[in-house]
Order: sequence, then C-alpha cells, then structure tokens
Amino acid sequence: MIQVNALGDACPIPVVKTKNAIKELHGAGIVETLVDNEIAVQNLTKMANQKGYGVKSEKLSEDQFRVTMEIKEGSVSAGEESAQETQECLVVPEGHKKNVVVAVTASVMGTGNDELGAVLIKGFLYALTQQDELPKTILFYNGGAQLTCEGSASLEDLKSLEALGVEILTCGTCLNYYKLSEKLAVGGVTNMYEITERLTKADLVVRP
Amino acid sequence: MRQSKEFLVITFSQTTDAMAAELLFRDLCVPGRIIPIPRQLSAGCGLAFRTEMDQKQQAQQALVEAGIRWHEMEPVRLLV
Repeated sequence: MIQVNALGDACPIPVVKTKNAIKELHGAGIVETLVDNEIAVQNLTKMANQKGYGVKSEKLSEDQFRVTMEIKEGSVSAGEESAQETQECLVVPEGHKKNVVVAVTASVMGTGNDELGAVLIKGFLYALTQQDELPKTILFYNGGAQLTCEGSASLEDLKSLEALGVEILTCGTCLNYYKLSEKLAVGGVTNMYEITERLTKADLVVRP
Repeated sequence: MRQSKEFLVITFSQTTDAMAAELLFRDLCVPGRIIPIPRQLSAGCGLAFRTEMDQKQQAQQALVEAGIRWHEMEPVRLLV
C-alpha cells in the first residue's frame, strides 16, 4: 500500500500525485490519498472510475478526507492516456470557476492558408460548444467581427453558446469599418472600454 | 442538463477530402456540417462531416460519384 499526502494541494496536484503512486505500484495494490477538500475527492473518484479502479472515500475530519483506490492486476494502462484522461481538473468548484475569455481577432485561425484557417476557426467555435467548462465571454474584433454576422458559418454554434450563458460581444468600431453594423446576427455590440475590461479582468484569455 | 443526439459522422484521411465533401454536400443539400473529429473516434485527418443518421446512403452515393474517399462512417452521440 502506498500513502499519498496531498493535504493543502490544489487541483490537479492530488490527482497527479495519486497517479504517480499508482505507477510506483507496478501492478495491483492499494493507494490511499489524503486531501483537505471535497473537490479533490470528487476529482480522484472521477479519475478512479475512468480508469476502472475500485474507489472509496471517507471524511476523517472537517478538512481531511481519505480516498482509497484499489488497483487490480492489469488495470494499469501503461502510457495509454487519452487527451481526456490527462485533463486532471475534472470538477471545478462552483463559484471558483475561472473567468475565461476567448478573443477572436480574425476570421481565420492561424496563419498559412486562409481557406484552411476558415475551416479551423469554424471547428474551434464548434469545439467550444462541446466543452464541459464554457468560457464566460467571447470577444470578436477586427476580422473576427465577420464571424458574428449574417453569412457566418459559425452562427449556429455561437447562438447555442449564447443560449448556454456565454456572453458574445463584437467590437462596434470593427462592425462599422467592415460595413457590417446592420448584419450582426448574434450577441451584442461592445466598445474598446468593455473589451479592455473583459481582457484585463480575465483569469485566462484564449486566442485561437 | 445539456441534450445530446446521435449523428452520423463521416471521417476522412485527407483534410482536403473533408473540405471537398463539405462543398459537395452543400451543393447536394445533404444537411450537416464540418466538425473537428469527435474524441470518440480515432484520428483520421482531424476533420469530419456530421450529418443526420438517415443520410448515410445519400452521402455514400454522393462521395462515390464525386470520387471523394472517406475513412469511416460512424454513429456518434454529440451534444447539441
């Protein structure tokens, strides 16, 4: 049996430490992880369920929990981690959600070939709709303003994101410059003060 | 609770084939759209065409006639 002390560790450290301990077992065995918050318990439980390990958790005191995993022979998939499994923070506490802002600055994603770039940005905005954790705001400026207007291939995705509570904002100066002011089809119009505020107050800005 | 639905997902080995299929299906009014390949399916080129489950025969025929090679056609449950 291996004991892991993850007291005081924030996600994803408890999951990472536990995974390392499981590797050290080199086969079947028990790993006991001590954590101090319920989110860590939930994340460890979710990880165990994904991997097919036996799992139980106990509350030892107000701020101490023990999560026990039983690893059976052959259940350790050596190096076969999918992208999904490596996402350690599966549960984010309510109220502690990151303020993620996506800044779409062009009608294409990346540089190289714009035909491909248009397909990629469309794919990116679709993939956003499929995430468990949605961004708080998506900002569209400069060439990105075209994506929220009539004729954009991403309108369906942006409307469903808006329906899920994501704030969609397009730069008014940009709509005016591209003569698209009458063509906005999703979300609201914003100005540089709001754009600056959203960007500076964000925990994370994603620029595709 | 977010809703999911079963779609027919067509994957391609070549990105250019996926892009050509999108144009072909648009011309033929086959409903659907290009999406990044769902995680449930193996790699391919990274792009796939998502359409309705009942479009399999029509899509297959159109691709054969246009000489566009596809990799797989699989039902996949996706968020809507």
